[in-house]
Amino acid sequence: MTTAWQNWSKWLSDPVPQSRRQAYLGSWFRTARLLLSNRLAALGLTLIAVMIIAALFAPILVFGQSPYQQDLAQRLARPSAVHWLGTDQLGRDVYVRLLYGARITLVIVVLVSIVVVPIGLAIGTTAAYFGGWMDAVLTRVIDVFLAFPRLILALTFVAALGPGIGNAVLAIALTSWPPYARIARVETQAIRHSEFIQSAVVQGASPSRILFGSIAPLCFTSLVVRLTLDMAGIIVTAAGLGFLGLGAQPPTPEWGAMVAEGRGFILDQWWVATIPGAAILGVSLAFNLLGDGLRDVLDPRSA
Amino acid sequence: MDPRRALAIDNLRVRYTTADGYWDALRGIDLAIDRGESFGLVGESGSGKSTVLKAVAGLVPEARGTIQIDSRKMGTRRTKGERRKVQIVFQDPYGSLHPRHTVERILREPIKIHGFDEPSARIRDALLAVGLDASYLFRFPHQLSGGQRQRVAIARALIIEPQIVLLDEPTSALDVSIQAEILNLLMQLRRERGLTYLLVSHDLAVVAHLCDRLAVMRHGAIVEYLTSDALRSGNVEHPYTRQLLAAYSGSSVTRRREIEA
Amino acid sequence: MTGHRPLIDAQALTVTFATASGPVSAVRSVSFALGRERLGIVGESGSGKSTVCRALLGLLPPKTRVSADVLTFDGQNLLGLSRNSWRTIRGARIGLIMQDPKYSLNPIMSVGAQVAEVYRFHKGYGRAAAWTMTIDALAAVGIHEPERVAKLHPHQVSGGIGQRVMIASMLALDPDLLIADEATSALDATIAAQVLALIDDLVVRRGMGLLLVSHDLGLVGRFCDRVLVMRDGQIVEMLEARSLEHARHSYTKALLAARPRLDRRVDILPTVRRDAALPQ
Repeated sequence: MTTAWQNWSKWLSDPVPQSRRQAYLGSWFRTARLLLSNRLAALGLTLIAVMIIAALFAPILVFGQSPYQQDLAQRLARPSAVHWLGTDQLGRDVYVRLLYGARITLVIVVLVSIVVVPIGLAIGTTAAYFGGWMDAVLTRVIDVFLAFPRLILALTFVAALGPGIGNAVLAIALTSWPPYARIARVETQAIRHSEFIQSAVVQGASPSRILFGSIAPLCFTSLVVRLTLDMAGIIVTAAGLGFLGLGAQPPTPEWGAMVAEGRGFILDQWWVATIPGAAILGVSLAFNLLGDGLRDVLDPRSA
Repeated sequence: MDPRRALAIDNLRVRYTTADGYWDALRGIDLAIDRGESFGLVGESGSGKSTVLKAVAGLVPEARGTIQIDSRKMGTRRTKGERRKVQIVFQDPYGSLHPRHTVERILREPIKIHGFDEPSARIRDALLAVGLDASYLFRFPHQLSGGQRQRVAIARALIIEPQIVLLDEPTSALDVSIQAEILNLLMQLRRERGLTYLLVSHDLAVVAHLCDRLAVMRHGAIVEYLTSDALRSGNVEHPYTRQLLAAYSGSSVTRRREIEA
Repeated sequence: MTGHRPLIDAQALTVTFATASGPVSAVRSVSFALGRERLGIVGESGSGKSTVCRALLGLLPPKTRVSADVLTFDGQNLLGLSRNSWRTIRGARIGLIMQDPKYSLNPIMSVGAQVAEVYRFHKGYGRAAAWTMTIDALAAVGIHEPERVAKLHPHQVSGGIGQRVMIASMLALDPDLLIADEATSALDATIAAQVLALIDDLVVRRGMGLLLVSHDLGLVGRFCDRVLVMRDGQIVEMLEARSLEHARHSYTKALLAARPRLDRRVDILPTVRRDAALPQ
């Protein structure tokens, strides 16, 4: 096992890569090692990995129990050998619901990310690269969306379209993308007149080739750093919507909704609300730590 | 129009307008370079020599006047075919290569843009022509030395077989020994491929070494045209050229004196 | 020269940096002495010439190891000096001018204010007196209209003026030794010549020592009394500047030959071969 790892390690650190794939993977490998040498970032990454594993392997890890299985005789039971984290007001196992809830959190995280980053990148780079009226128009669009407070727009959206995870994700994504466009715009402005971009122009590259091939990759790292730092806020907003009953609907085991449901008996049966709350806190913190570590590693760039 | 003329510039003017007014970077430049010739532009900072180069490369939208390459008028918006005829090598080896692209990608890009065949063979040939071997293919710019980056920049400029190569202080940022290697390489490539060079430099010796004719620029205008032989023999007319020569040879100021301790 | 204590006495100076890939010796057993003369150190990138300057000013990163048999400034030992001791030497006794004044000057203060600061905090002058001395100092370094220039910010003045301001602020402290690290590399030839003339004049009049570091062998040869040629952290040759054309070491000769020259025509420039082994 160790020799296989050693071989991989050597291949990735080869100073003379033999293929583009080897070169890029090797570069990522070096960055990853640098990142993991930061203890806090490694901790954050571990916690996120735990969450992902919990989400992906939930059915196995709960030994086939269902998050919707009620057992009213066992309502509000304390954590025990049978129910590791106790049961809620309908006798459902909290541990099982926690792991299935991780799936929902993961879905929200992924969906928001894949909407927000490409939109921000596209709008920000286009605005800065072409300048002029395109920049003016797009900047105004960014400003308009930036003016909406996240939770309130989400509420409005959900009120208009009805509650549910999909609409909640949409609402969060719509209010989250403007800062990414701004970051992409600023980064593009900084590199727009650099000589490697001028070289591409002189070679006859079309604007789309320059934007996709040369400019967007350089903005990407700043956006990823911003995303990981934003993730805490996104998760809490989703939980907030769930808490208000506007995100996932019962009986879906979403962490925010679980906190809301356990609110009424938080003093006596603390585990029902506190444990999902702790999960929200833990994952948000993990993303923060990871984001800090990424920022240290990716900015300043190693060029 | 003379078919031997590779590049003809007629009354090239560049005016930058700012909030407080305007500034003339170029005030009517006239230039004519024959095919296969090597022409130099010398001047101090602010003389506008780099602006001339960038205007010929089609990077200055504010340019007015006529630029003809191969007897064909070039505007600031150019077709791919027009772009192919003129390529540029910049001064800063650290800034002219994309920091996240491998050497292979940097060289493949122009080939893809212009649809050349056999890209891998062309890339390998281009690297060999500038004295680098295949081990450099998948390295990133930050893994290369300044001289190696400049070689890649030259390979990139030549890979689509341009007629004119614009050189913006190509060796100013390099050590003396590396500069010698790059200058030799540039001379050799020009001989082998019959290229036309327009070289910008503040270093009179580099210009005299690489070019047959040159023009001296100051404050956006050309003050004198001369041959490099004339420069070498000190046979110059304009007082500013004389001043440049004096400063370069250091004869005006530096005399060794004993320090009174 | 004889009978005077040398300003700098360095014997077997070695500087080792702690890098991610292990210790790297940028300067390896370098020995030289500098009196009240103009000494030039010439080398290409990686030769260690700038590191020597930093070692003489205590401007090296924290984990760097500096060792030497002897390293003294005017008799004072520079090895293992405390931060406070360095502060009394730096500026007051050894001045430094670097390549780009835009990076050495504070961008948010006017240039006059920065020079005046030296007079106020190091010499104890009052605000008005310091300003007068500043104007005089700026005039002394050849700046026209010093009252107008003093109010400008660093980004508003040219490179040549910026370097003159650096020289003015440094001379206010009247140091014994001036270290110029590529001080004219970013300047046009005519401006560089003027700045060098200024340095030359001040060095001679005040009897300062000058350590001029440059990659330009021709410049150093014309301007200095003695020249040290460095390569890969070691001194390969030490000679009188007027004998530069008759240098004996192959590397020095190669450096001299590699430059394109105005006075003669060469087809192919001789290049320096990269040798791993260096002759002792």
